Amino acid sequence: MEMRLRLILAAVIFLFVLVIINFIKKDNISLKYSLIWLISGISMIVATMIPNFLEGMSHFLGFELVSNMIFMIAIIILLMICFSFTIIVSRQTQKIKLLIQEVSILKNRVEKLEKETK
Amino acid sequence: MSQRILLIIPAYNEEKNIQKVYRSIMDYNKKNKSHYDLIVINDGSTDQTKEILDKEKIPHIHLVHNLGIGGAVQTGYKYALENDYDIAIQFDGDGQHDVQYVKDLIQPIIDGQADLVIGSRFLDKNSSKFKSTKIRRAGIRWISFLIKVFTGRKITDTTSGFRAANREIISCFAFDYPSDSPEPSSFVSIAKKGYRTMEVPVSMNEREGGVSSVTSHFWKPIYYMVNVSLSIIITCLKNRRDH
Repeated sequence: MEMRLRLILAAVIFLFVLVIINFIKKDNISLKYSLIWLISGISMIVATMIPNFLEGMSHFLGFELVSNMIFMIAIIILLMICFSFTIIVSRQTQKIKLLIQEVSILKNRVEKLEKETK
Repeated sequence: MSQRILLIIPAYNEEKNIQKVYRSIMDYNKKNKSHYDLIVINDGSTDQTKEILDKEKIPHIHLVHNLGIGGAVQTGYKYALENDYDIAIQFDGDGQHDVQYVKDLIQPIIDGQADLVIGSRFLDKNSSKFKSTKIRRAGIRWISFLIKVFTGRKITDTTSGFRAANREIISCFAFDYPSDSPEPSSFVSIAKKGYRTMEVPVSMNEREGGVSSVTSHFWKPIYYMVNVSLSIIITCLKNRRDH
C-alpha cells in the first residue's frame, strides 16, 4: 500500500476515534457500547501503520487481494455488531413493557386510593 | 366457599363496543346473582375509549403506551395476581364473547378438573353462529396440527381469546406471557409445563364494530401464520428443560 493512502486512512480512523471519545465525554454513548468501536478503531490504525502487515496477513490466509480480506473482516465485524444491537433492542423492549405495565397498574391503584380517601 | 372471579377485558379503540360489553356483564351479574369482577385494559386507545371508561366508571387500567394484545392481557393477569383472584377469564372488549358462557368456562376449574379452560367455537358445530372464511379455517387447522405434533394435545380453537385460568396459570402468565400470537404460544407453554388443559364449547358473535387485528392488511395473515408457527416451535424448545 502506498504511504500516502496509508496516512490518509490512518488520519480518517483517528478522527473517528476522536469523535467516539468526544461522545463518551458528553455522556451520549455509554462506555459499555462504545468499547467495541474504540477497539476496532485503534486496531485499524495499528493495522494500517505497520508496513506490510496487511499484505503479509492476506498472503498468509490465502487471499488473492488485500482488499478482499479487509472487506471480509469488515463484514464479519459489522454483522456481529448488528446482532448485538438486536439483542440489546430485544432486552430493552422487555424492560419497557414491564415498566409500562407496572406504571399503569400503579396509576390504577393510586386513583382508587385517592377516591377512597376523599 | 365462593371463588373470586375476574374478567380481563383488553380493549384497543373499542369506543363502539366497550359500553355494551360492560352493560351485558353487569346485567348478567344482577340477573344471576353472580359476582364477576372485571377490569378493562385500555391498550393506549387513540379514540374515545378512555373517556367512555372514565365517564361510565368502568374499572380499568389505562396503559400509558400501546403494548399490543399480549402485553395488555398480561397486565390483566398481573392485576389478578396482585389482587388475589382465584380465576381470571380473558374476555374480548369487542362484543365477540358472550358472558353466558363464563360459567361453563369456570366450572372445570372449580371442580378441579383443569387448570386452563379454552372456549372453542368448533367443538359443537350446531351451537356456533360464527362464520369464518375457508382460509381462516385452514389457518386454524394448521396451528392446531402444529400444536398436536409438538405437545400431543388436541385443541380445536387455537386462536380463541376466551379462556379461564386458575391461580397457578395466573402466576405463570403474570410472569411470562408472549407478545406475538399470544393465544397459541401461551397454550403450548402451559401444556409443556404439564398443566391440565380443557376445551368447552362456546358460541361467539360476529364482531360488531372495529377491525380484526389479523385481517386489516393483506400481508398480516401471512405474517401471522409464519410468526405463530415459529413461536410454537420456540416455545417448545424453551420449555423442554422443565421436564
